[in-house]
Amino acid sequence: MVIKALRIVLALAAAAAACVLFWMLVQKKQQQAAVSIPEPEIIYTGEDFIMDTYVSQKTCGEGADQLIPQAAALLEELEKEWSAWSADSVPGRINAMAGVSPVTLEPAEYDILRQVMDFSTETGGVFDPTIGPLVKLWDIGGESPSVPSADQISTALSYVGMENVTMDDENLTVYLDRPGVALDFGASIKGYGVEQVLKLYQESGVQGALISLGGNVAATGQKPTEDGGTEDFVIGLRDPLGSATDYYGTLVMNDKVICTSGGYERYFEQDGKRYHHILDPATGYPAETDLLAVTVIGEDGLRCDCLSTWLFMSGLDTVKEHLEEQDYAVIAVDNQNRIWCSSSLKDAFALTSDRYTLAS
Amino acid sequence: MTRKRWIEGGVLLGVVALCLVWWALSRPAEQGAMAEVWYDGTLAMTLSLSEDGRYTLAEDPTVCFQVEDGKVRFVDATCPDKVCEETGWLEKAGEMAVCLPRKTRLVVAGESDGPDIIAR
Repeated sequence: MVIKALRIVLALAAAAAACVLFWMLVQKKQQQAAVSIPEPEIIYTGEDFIMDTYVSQKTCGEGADQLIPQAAALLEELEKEWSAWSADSVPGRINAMAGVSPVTLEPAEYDILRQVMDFSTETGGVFDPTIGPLVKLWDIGGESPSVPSADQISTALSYVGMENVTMDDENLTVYLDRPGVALDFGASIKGYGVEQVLKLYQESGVQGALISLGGNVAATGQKPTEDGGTEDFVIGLRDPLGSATDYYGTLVMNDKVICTSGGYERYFEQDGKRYHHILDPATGYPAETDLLAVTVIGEDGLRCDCLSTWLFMSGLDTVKEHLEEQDYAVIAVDNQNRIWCSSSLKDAFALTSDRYTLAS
Repeated sequence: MTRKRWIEGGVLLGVVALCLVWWALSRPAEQGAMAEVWYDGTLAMTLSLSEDGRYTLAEDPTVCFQVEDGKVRFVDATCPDKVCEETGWLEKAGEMAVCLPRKTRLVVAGESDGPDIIAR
Protein backbone atom coordinates (compact mmCIF):
# COMPACT_ATOMS: atom_id res chain seq x y z
CA MET A 1 0.00 0.00 0.00
CA VAL A 2 2.64 2.49 1.09
CA ILE A 3 4.90 1.53 -1.80
CA LYS A 4 2.11 2.04 -4.33
CA ALA A 5 1.38 5.46 -2.92
CA LEU A 6 5.04 6.38 -3.02
CA ARG A 7 5.13 5.34 -6.66
CA ILE A 8 2.26 7.63 -7.48
CA VAL A 9 3.95 10.50 -5.72
CA LEU A 10 7.18 9.84 -7.58
CA ALA A 11 5.36 9.62 -10.89
CA LEU A 12 3.61 12.92 -10.23
CA ALA A 13 6.85 14.59 -9.23
CA ALA A 14 8.53 13.27 -12.37
CA ALA A 15 5.65 14.51 -14.51
CA ALA A 16 5.89 17.93 -12.87
CA ALA A 17 9.64 18.04 -13.41
CA ALA A 18 9.16 17.03 -17.04
CA CYS A 19 6.61 19.79 -17.50
CA VAL A 20 8.97 22.37 -16.01
CA LEU A 21 11.88 21.18 -18.13
CA PHE A 22 9.78 21.28 -21.28
CA TRP A 23 8.55 24.75 -20.42
CA MET A 24 12.08 26.00 -19.82
CA LEU A 25 13.23 24.50 -23.12
CA VAL A 26 10.43 26.23 -24.98
CA GLN A 27 11.37 29.51 -23.30
CA LYS A 28 14.99 29.08 -24.27
CA LYS A 29 14.11 28.27 -27.84
CA GLN A 30 11.97 31.39 -28.08
CA GLN A 31 14.85 33.44 -26.75
CA GLN A 32 17.20 31.94 -29.31
CA ALA A 33 14.70 32.63 -32.05
CA ALA A 34 14.52 36.23 -30.92
CA VAL A 35 18.28 36.49 -31.09
CA SER A 36 18.81 34.78 -34.45
CA ILE A 37 16.21 36.79 -36.42
CA PRO A 38 17.35 40.41 -36.85
CA GLU A 39 15.12 42.95 -35.15
CA PRO A 40 12.66 44.21 -37.75
CA GLU A 41 12.14 47.54 -36.00
CA ILE A 42 14.67 50.32 -36.19
CA ILE A 43 13.68 53.10 -33.83
CA TYR A 44 16.05 55.81 -32.71
CA THR A 45 15.46 58.18 -29.85
CA GLY A 46 17.16 61.41 -28.90
CA GLU A 47 16.81 64.03 -26.22
CA ASP A 48 18.12 67.52 -25.65
CA PHE A 49 17.39 70.59 -23.60
CA ILE A 50 16.80 73.42 -26.05
CA MET A 51 14.72 76.63 -25.83
CA ASP A 52 14.49 76.18 -22.07
CA THR A 53 12.56 72.97 -22.48
CA TYR A 54 12.86 69.23 -22.91
CA VAL A 55 13.10 68.02 -26.50
CA SER A 56 12.54 64.38 -27.35
CA GLN A 57 12.60 62.73 -30.76
CA LYS A 58 11.81 59.31 -32.11
CA THR A 59 12.78 58.45 -35.69
CA CYS A 60 12.23 55.17 -37.50
CA GLY A 61 13.82 53.43 -40.44
CA GLU A 62 17.30 53.04 -41.84
CA GLY A 63 19.45 56.14 -41.58
CA ALA A 64 16.81 57.85 -39.48
CA ASP A 65 19.33 58.35 -36.68
CA GLN A 66 20.90 61.20 -38.65
CA LEU A 67 17.72 63.25 -38.39
CA ILE A 68 18.03 63.57 -34.62
CA PRO A 69 21.16 65.77 -34.50
CA GLN A 70 19.94 67.66 -37.59
CA ALA A 71 16.68 68.57 -35.88
CA ALA A 72 18.47 69.46 -32.65
CA ALA A 73 20.85 71.74 -34.56
CA LEU A 74 17.91 73.42 -36.29
CA LEU A 75 16.26 74.12 -32.93
CA GLU A 76 19.51 75.39 -31.41
CA GLU A 77 19.81 77.83 -34.31
CA LEU A 78 16.26 79.03 -33.71
CA GLU A 79 16.98 79.41 -30.02
CA LYS A 80 19.98 81.62 -30.81
CA GLU A 81 17.90 83.61 -33.25
CA TRP A 82 14.86 84.18 -31.04
CA SER A 83 15.81 83.89 -27.36
CA ALA A 84 14.79 87.03 -25.49
CA TRP A 85 17.73 86.53 -23.14
CA SER A 86 20.48 86.66 -25.77
CA ALA A 87 21.91 89.99 -26.97
CA ASP A 88 22.56 88.69 -30.50
CA SER A 89 19.06 87.37 -31.10
CA VAL A 90 16.33 89.17 -33.07
CA PRO A 91 14.50 90.35 -29.91
CA GLY A 92 17.89 91.00 -28.25
CA ARG A 93 19.00 93.36 -31.02
CA ILE A 94 15.62 95.09 -31.28
CA ASN A 95 15.31 95.51 -27.49
CA ALA A 96 18.86 96.90 -27.22
CA MET A 97 17.98 99.56 -29.80
CA ALA A 98 14.69 100.55 -28.16
CA GLY A 99 14.37 104.34 -28.29
CA VAL A 100 17.60 104.56 -30.25
CA SER A 101 17.05 103.39 -33.81
CA PRO A 102 15.11 100.94 -35.98
CA VAL A 103 16.69 97.51 -36.57
CA THR A 104 16.75 95.92 -40.03
CA LEU A 105 15.84 92.23 -40.17
CA GLU A 106 16.34 89.40 -42.64
CA PRO A 107 13.17 88.79 -44.70
CA ALA A 108 12.48 85.45 -42.96
CA GLU A 109 12.91 87.04 -39.54
CA TYR A 110 10.76 89.99 -40.43
CA ASP A 111 8.06 87.67 -41.73
CA ILE A 112 7.86 85.80 -38.41
CA LEU A 113 7.69 89.06 -36.51
CA ARG A 114 5.01 90.37 -38.85
CA GLN A 115 2.89 87.26 -38.31
CA VAL A 116 3.16 87.50 -34.54
CA MET A 117 2.31 91.21 -34.61
CA ASP A 118 -0.66 90.58 -36.89
CA PHE A 119 -1.89 87.88 -34.55
CA SER A 120 -1.58 90.26 -31.63
CA THR A 121 -3.66 92.86 -33.49
CA GLU A 122 -6.21 90.15 -34.39
CA THR A 123 -6.66 89.37 -30.68
CA GLY A 124 -6.94 93.02 -29.70
CA GLY A 125 -3.69 92.78 -27.73
CA VAL A 126 -4.79 89.89 -25.50
CA PHE A 127 -1.81 88.08 -26.99
CA ASP A 128 1.08 90.53 -26.90
CA PRO A 129 4.76 89.95 -27.82
CA THR A 130 5.71 93.21 -26.05
CA ILE A 131 5.21 91.34 -22.79
CA GLY A 132 9.04 91.16 -22.38
CA PRO A 133 9.32 93.50 -19.35
CA LEU A 134 6.73 91.41 -17.46
CA VAL A 135 8.37 88.11 -18.38
CA LYS A 136 11.72 89.43 -17.10
CA LEU A 137 10.13 90.79 -13.93
CA TRP A 138 8.38 87.55 -12.98
CA ASP A 139 11.22 85.33 -14.21
CA ILE A 140 9.02 82.23 -13.88
CA GLY A 141 11.19 79.22 -14.60
CA GLY A 142 14.23 81.15 -13.36
CA GLU A 143 16.23 80.39 -10.24
CA SER A 144 14.28 82.34 -7.62
CA PRO A 145 10.94 83.66 -8.85
CA SER A 146 8.74 85.59 -6.42
CA VAL A 147 5.61 87.70 -6.72
CA PRO A 148 6.64 91.25 -7.68
CA SER A 149 5.23 94.26 -5.83
CA ALA A 150 2.21 96.06 -7.27
CA ASP A 151 4.49 99.02 -8.06
CA GLN A 152 6.92 96.86 -10.00
CA ILE A 153 4.05 95.36 -11.97
CA SER A 154 2.49 98.68 -12.89
CA THR A 155 5.91 100.01 -13.93
CA ALA A 156 6.52 96.95 -16.15
CA LEU A 157 2.99 97.24 -17.55
CA SER A 158 3.66 100.82 -18.68
CA TYR A 159 6.18 99.41 -21.17
CA VAL A 160 3.79 96.77 -22.53
CA GLY A 161 1.65 97.44 -25.59
CA MET A 162 1.63 97.12 -29.35
CA GLU A 163 1.54 100.91 -29.77
CA ASN A 164 5.20 100.95 -28.73
CA VAL A 165 6.21 99.01 -31.85
CA THR A 166 6.70 100.51 -35.31
CA MET A 167 7.20 98.16 -38.22
CA ASP A 168 8.22 99.15 -41.74
CA ASP A 169 7.20 96.49 -44.26
CA GLU A 170 9.20 98.08 -47.06
CA ASN A 171 12.53 98.45 -45.33
CA LEU A 172 12.00 95.42 -43.06
CA THR A 173 12.76 97.43 -39.94
CA VAL A 174 11.36 97.26 -36.42
CA TYR A 175 11.55 100.06 -33.87
CA LEU A 176 10.58 100.15 -30.21
CA ASP A 177 9.78 103.71 -29.24
CA ARG A 178 11.60 103.97 -25.87
CA PRO A 179 14.16 102.15 -23.77
CA GLY A 180 12.56 99.50 -21.57
CA VAL A 181 10.10 98.21 -24.17
CA ALA A 182 11.01 94.59 -24.97
CA LEU A 183 9.78 91.86 -27.29
CA ASP A 184 9.47 88.23 -26.19
CA PHE A 185 8.66 85.34 -28.51
CA GLY A 186 8.47 82.63 -25.88
CA ALA A 187 4.79 81.97 -26.64
CA SER A 188 5.17 81.54 -30.38
CA ILE A 189 8.58 80.36 -31.52
CA LYS A 190 8.41 76.79 -30.20
CA GLY A 191 5.44 76.03 -32.43
CA TYR A 192 7.41 77.45 -35.35
CA GLY A 193 10.37 75.26 -34.37
CA VAL A 194 8.24 72.12 -34.35
CA GLU A 195 6.86 73.01 -37.77
CA GLN A 196 10.41 73.40 -39.13
CA VAL A 197 11.46 70.03 -37.67
CA LEU A 198 8.34 68.41 -39.13
CA LYS A 199 9.31 69.78 -42.56
CA LEU A 200 12.83 68.40 -42.12
CA TYR A 201 11.36 64.96 -41.35
CA GLN A 202 8.93 65.10 -44.28
CA GLU A 203 11.59 66.14 -46.79
CA SER A 204 13.96 63.40 -45.61
CA GLY A 205 11.49 60.68 -46.62
CA VAL A 206 11.89 59.05 -43.22
CA GLN A 207 9.66 56.04 -42.44
CA GLY A 208 8.35 57.72 -39.32
CA ALA A 209 9.35 60.47 -36.90
CA LEU A 210 8.05 62.24 -33.84
CA ILE A 211 9.20 65.45 -32.15
CA SER A 212 8.18 66.92 -28.83
CA LEU A 213 9.39 70.37 -27.75
CA GLY A 214 7.82 71.27 -24.44
CA GLY A 215 4.09 71.36 -25.09
CA ASN A 216 4.51 71.21 -28.85
CA VAL A 217 4.42 67.97 -30.80
CA ALA A 218 4.40 66.76 -34.42
CA ALA A 219 4.47 63.33 -36.04
CA THR A 220 4.86 62.04 -39.57
CA GLY A 221 4.89 58.58 -41.19
CA GLN A 222 4.60 55.39 -39.22
CA LYS A 223 6.60 53.38 -36.74
CA PRO A 224 7.54 49.72 -37.28
CA THR A 225 6.04 47.12 -34.97
CA GLU A 226 7.56 43.94 -33.58
CA ASP A 227 5.72 41.70 -36.06
CA GLY A 228 7.16 43.53 -39.05
CA GLY A 229 4.16 45.77 -39.69
CA THR A 230 3.75 49.47 -39.12
CA GLU A 231 1.42 51.60 -37.03
CA ASP A 232 0.57 55.22 -36.31
CA PHE A 233 2.21 57.23 -33.58
CA VAL A 234 -0.03 57.82 -30.60
CA ILE A 235 0.22 61.17 -28.83
CA GLY A 236 -0.96 61.38 -25.23
CA LEU A 237 -2.40 64.67 -23.98
CA ARG A 238 -1.14 65.47 -20.50
CA ASP A 239 -3.75 65.32 -17.74
CA PRO A 240 -3.63 68.84 -16.25
CA LEU A 241 -4.87 67.51 -12.90
CA GLY A 242 -2.59 64.48 -12.83
CA SER A 243 1.15 64.04 -12.68
CA ALA A 244 3.46 64.51 -15.64
CA THR A 245 3.06 60.86 -16.61
CA ASP A 246 -0.76 60.95 -16.71
CA TYR A 247 -2.71 61.70 -19.86
CA TYR A 248 -6.43 62.31 -20.33
CA GLY A 249 -6.70 61.29 -23.95
CA THR A 250 -4.85 60.20 -27.03
CA LEU A 251 -4.55 61.73 -30.45
CA VAL A 252 -3.49 60.14 -33.71
CA MET A 253 -2.59 63.02 -36.00
CA ASN A 254 0.15 63.08 -38.62
CA ASP A 255 1.71 66.05 -40.42
CA LYS A 256 0.20 68.69 -38.16
CA VAL A 257 1.67 70.78 -35.38
CA ILE A 258 0.03 70.17 -32.02
CA CYS A 259 0.53 72.99 -29.51
CA THR A 260 -0.61 72.86 -25.89
CA SER A 261 -0.77 75.64 -23.31
CA GLY A 262 -1.56 75.07 -19.66
CA GLY A 263 -0.81 76.50 -16.27
CA TYR A 264 0.54 73.23 -14.88
CA GLU A 265 3.93 72.89 -16.48
CA ARG A 266 5.88 75.98 -15.53
CA TYR A 267 5.01 77.79 -12.34
CA PHE A 268 6.09 78.56 -8.81
CA GLU A 269 4.21 78.67 -5.54
CA GLN A 270 4.21 81.39 -2.92
CA ASP A 271 2.06 81.50 0.22
CA GLY A 272 0.09 78.51 -1.02
CA LYS A 273 -0.90 80.16 -4.31
CA ARG A 274 0.29 78.92 -7.67
CA TYR A 275 1.68 81.39 -10.23
CA HIS A 276 1.94 79.96 -13.73
CA HIS A 277 3.97 81.28 -16.66
CA ILE A 278 1.24 82.57 -18.99
CA LEU A 279 1.15 86.26 -18.12
CA ASP A 280 -1.80 88.50 -18.94
CA PRO A 281 -0.63 91.75 -20.58
CA ALA A 282 -3.80 93.47 -19.30
CA THR A 283 -3.23 92.80 -15.58
CA GLY A 284 0.47 91.98 -15.35
CA TYR A 285 -0.34 88.80 -13.42
CA PRO A 286 -0.63 85.16 -14.54
CA ALA A 287 -3.79 84.87 -16.67
CA GLU A 288 -6.97 84.05 -14.74
CA THR A 289 -8.85 81.52 -16.81
CA ASP A 290 -11.56 78.88 -16.52
CA LEU A 291 -9.45 76.49 -18.61
CA LEU A 292 -6.85 73.99 -17.46
CA ALA A 293 -5.28 73.31 -20.84
CA VAL A 294 -5.80 74.14 -24.51
CA THR A 295 -4.42 72.19 -27.46
CA VAL A 296 -4.48 73.67 -30.97
CA ILE A 297 -3.81 71.50 -34.02
CA GLY A 298 -2.96 72.88 -37.45
CA GLU A 299 -0.33 73.25 -40.14
CA ASP A 300 0.99 76.68 -39.21
CA GLY A 301 3.06 76.00 -36.07
CA LEU A 302 3.71 79.65 -35.27
CA ARG A 303 0.00 80.44 -35.42
CA CYS A 304 -1.02 77.32 -33.47
CA ASP A 305 1.38 78.18 -30.66
CA CYS A 306 0.00 81.75 -30.52
CA LEU A 307 -3.57 80.42 -30.70
CA SER A 308 -3.16 77.96 -27.82
CA THR A 309 -1.74 80.70 -25.58
CA TRP A 310 -4.45 83.17 -26.57
CA LEU A 311 -7.31 80.66 -26.18
CA PHE A 312 -5.98 79.58 -22.78
CA MET A 313 -5.97 83.21 -21.60
CA SER A 314 -9.32 84.05 -23.15
CA GLY A 315 -11.25 81.20 -21.55
CA LEU A 316 -14.01 78.76 -22.37
CA ASP A 317 -16.45 81.17 -24.05
CA THR A 318 -13.82 82.12 -26.61
CA VAL A 319 -12.89 78.47 -27.16
CA LYS A 320 -16.56 77.67 -27.86
CA GLU A 321 -16.61 80.33 -30.57
CA HIS A 322 -13.54 78.86 -32.26
CA LEU A 323 -14.20 75.12 -32.12
CA GLU A 324 -15.13 74.84 -35.79
CA GLU A 325 -12.42 76.77 -37.62
CA GLN A 326 -11.14 75.95 -41.12
CA ASP A 327 -7.41 76.14 -40.50
CA TYR A 328 -7.11 74.69 -37.00
CA ALA A 329 -8.79 72.36 -34.51
CA VAL A 330 -9.04 72.69 -30.72
CA ILE A 331 -9.18 70.42 -27.67
CA ALA A 332 -9.74 72.30 -24.41
CA VAL A 333 -10.08 71.11 -20.80
CA ASP A 334 -12.15 73.38 -18.55
CA ASN A 335 -12.18 73.67 -14.76
CA GLN A 336 -15.40 71.62 -14.59
CA ASN A 337 -13.43 68.65 -15.93
CA ARG A 338 -15.12 68.84 -19.32
CA ILE A 339 -13.36 68.32 -22.65
CA TRP A 340 -14.29 70.57 -25.58
CA CYS A 341 -13.21 69.13 -28.90
CA SER A 342 -13.59 70.26 -32.54
CA SER A 343 -15.86 67.92 -34.50
CA SER A 344 -13.09 67.38 -37.07
CA LEU A 345 -11.14 65.51 -34.36
CA LYS A 346 -13.88 63.03 -33.47
CA ASP A 347 -12.01 60.12 -35.08
CA ALA A 348 -8.49 61.19 -34.15
CA PHE A 349 -9.10 61.96 -30.48
CA ALA A 350 -9.99 59.43 -27.80
CA LEU A 351 -10.80 60.29 -24.19
CA THR A 352 -9.03 57.76 -21.97
CA SER A 353 -9.44 59.18 -18.45
CA ASP A 354 -12.68 58.85 -16.50
CA ARG A 355 -11.84 62.02 -14.59
CA TYR A 356 -13.27 63.98 -17.53
CA THR A 357 -16.39 64.03 -19.67
CA LEU A 358 -16.79 65.05 -23.28
CA ALA A 359 -18.77 68.27 -23.58
CA SER A 360 -18.77 68.59 -27.34
CA MET B 1 -8.08 5.92 2.80
CA THR B 2 -4.33 6.22 3.35
CA ARG B 3 -3.65 5.77 -0.34
CA LYS B 4 -6.03 8.63 -1.29
CA ARG B 5 -4.26 10.86 1.20
CA TRP B 6 -0.90 9.95 -0.35
CA ILE B 7 -2.18 10.84 -3.80
CA GLU B 8 -3.68 14.09 -2.58
CA GLY B 9 -0.44 14.87 -0.80
CA GLY B 10 1.52 14.10 -3.94
CA VAL B 11 -0.63 16.30 -6.16
CA LEU B 12 -0.38 19.09 -3.63
CA LEU B 13 3.39 18.72 -3.47
CA GLY B 14 3.57 18.78 -7.25
CA VAL B 15 1.50 21.94 -7.44
CA VAL B 16 3.56 23.59 -4.71
CA ALA B 17 6.79 22.57 -6.48
CA LEU B 18 5.53 24.02 -9.76
CA CYS B 19 4.52 27.24 -8.03
CA LEU B 20 7.94 27.48 -6.41
CA VAL B 21 9.68 26.93 -9.74
CA TRP B 22 7.50 29.53 -11.45
CA TRP B 23 8.10 32.04 -8.66
CA ALA B 24 11.85 31.42 -8.70
CA LEU B 25 11.95 31.91 -12.47
CA SER B 26 9.81 35.01 -12.60
CA ARG B 27 11.38 36.76 -9.63
CA PRO B 28 14.70 37.85 -11.19
CA ALA B 29 12.82 39.64 -13.97
CA GLU B 30 10.97 41.80 -11.48
CA GLN B 31 14.12 42.43 -9.52
CA GLY B 32 15.82 43.61 -12.67
CA ALA B 33 13.66 46.74 -13.00
CA MET B 34 15.95 49.69 -13.55
CA ALA B 35 15.64 53.43 -13.74
CA GLU B 36 17.82 55.57 -15.95
CA VAL B 37 18.98 59.07 -15.16
CA TRP B 38 19.72 61.20 -18.21
CA TYR B 39 21.66 64.41 -17.72
CA ASP B 40 21.70 66.92 -20.57
CA GLY B 41 20.95 64.26 -23.17
CA THR B 42 23.34 61.54 -22.03
CA LEU B 43 22.82 58.54 -19.77
CA ALA B 44 24.41 59.54 -16.47
CA MET B 45 23.47 56.66 -14.16
CA THR B 46 21.22 53.66 -13.75
CA LEU B 47 19.45 52.77 -10.53
CA SER B 48 18.23 49.34 -9.57
CA LEU B 49 14.69 49.63 -8.27
CA SER B 50 15.31 46.69 -5.95
CA GLU B 51 17.96 48.57 -3.98
CA ASP B 52 16.26 51.00 -1.66
CA GLY B 53 18.21 54.12 -0.87
CA ARG B 54 19.07 57.68 -1.75
CA TYR B 55 21.24 58.50 -4.72
CA THR B 56 22.94 61.68 -5.87
CA LEU B 57 23.74 62.66 -9.44
CA ALA B 58 27.53 62.98 -9.82
CA GLU B 59 27.17 65.65 -12.53
CA ASP B 60 25.01 67.85 -10.29
CA PRO B 61 24.96 66.88 -6.60
CA THR B 62 21.89 69.03 -5.96
CA VAL B 63 19.85 66.42 -7.84
CA CYS B 64 18.79 63.50 -5.61
CA PHE B 65 16.70 60.39 -6.10
CA GLN B 66 15.03 57.98 -3.75
CA VAL B 67 14.35 54.30 -4.48
CA GLU B 68 11.82 52.48 -2.37
CA ASP B 69 9.72 49.34 -2.87
CA GLY B 70 10.47 49.12 -6.57
CA LYS B 71 9.65 52.79 -7.20
CA VAL B 72 11.80 55.86 -7.77
CA ARG B 73 11.36 59.63 -7.51
CA PHE B 74 13.19 62.95 -7.37
CA VAL B 75 13.70 64.20 -3.81
CA ASP B 76 15.01 67.36 -2.13
CA ALA B 77 14.85 69.36 -5.34
CA THR B 78 16.60 72.69 -5.00
CA CYS B 79 15.12 74.08 -8.20
CA PRO B 80 12.42 76.76 -7.84
CA ASP B 81 9.50 74.98 -9.45
CA LYS B 82 9.88 71.46 -8.03
CA VAL B 83 7.89 70.08 -10.96
CA CYS B 84 10.18 67.05 -10.97
CA GLU B 85 9.39 66.30 -7.33
CA GLU B 86 5.65 66.73 -7.81
CA THR B 87 5.65 64.16 -10.59
CA GLY B 88 5.94 61.69 -7.71
CA TRP B 89 6.80 58.03 -7.71
CA LEU B 90 7.67 56.32 -10.99
CA GLU B 91 7.13 52.61 -11.22
CA LYS B 92 5.98 51.41 -14.63
CA ALA B 93 8.23 51.12 -17.66
CA GLY B 94 8.37 54.38 -19.56
CA GLU B 95 7.17 56.59 -16.71
CA MET B 96 9.35 59.63 -16.43
CA ALA B 97 9.95 62.92 -14.67
CA VAL B 98 11.91 65.83 -16.07
CA CYS B 99 13.72 68.55 -14.15
CA LEU B 100 14.11 71.43 -16.61
CA PRO B 101 16.33 73.71 -14.48
CA ARG B 102 18.80 70.85 -13.88
CA LYS B 103 18.43 69.28 -17.36
CA THR B 104 17.78 65.91 -15.77
CA ARG B 105 15.36 63.18 -16.77
CA LEU B 106 14.47 60.17 -14.68
CA VAL B 107 12.78 57.28 -16.49
CA VAL B 108 11.90 53.70 -15.66
CA ALA B 109 13.63 51.54 -18.26
CA GLY B 110 11.66 49.36 -20.63
CA GLU B 111 8.95 49.54 -23.23
CA SER B 112 5.85 51.43 -22.18
CA ASP B 113 2.46 50.36 -23.47
CA GLY B 114 1.18 53.94 -23.30
CA PRO B 115 1.33 56.62 -26.03
CA ASP B 116 4.56 57.31 -27.93
CA ILE B 117 4.77 60.71 -26.35
CA ILE B 118 2.85 62.85 -23.90
CA ALA B 119 2.29 66.44 -25.03
CA ARG B 120 2.84 68.49 -21.92
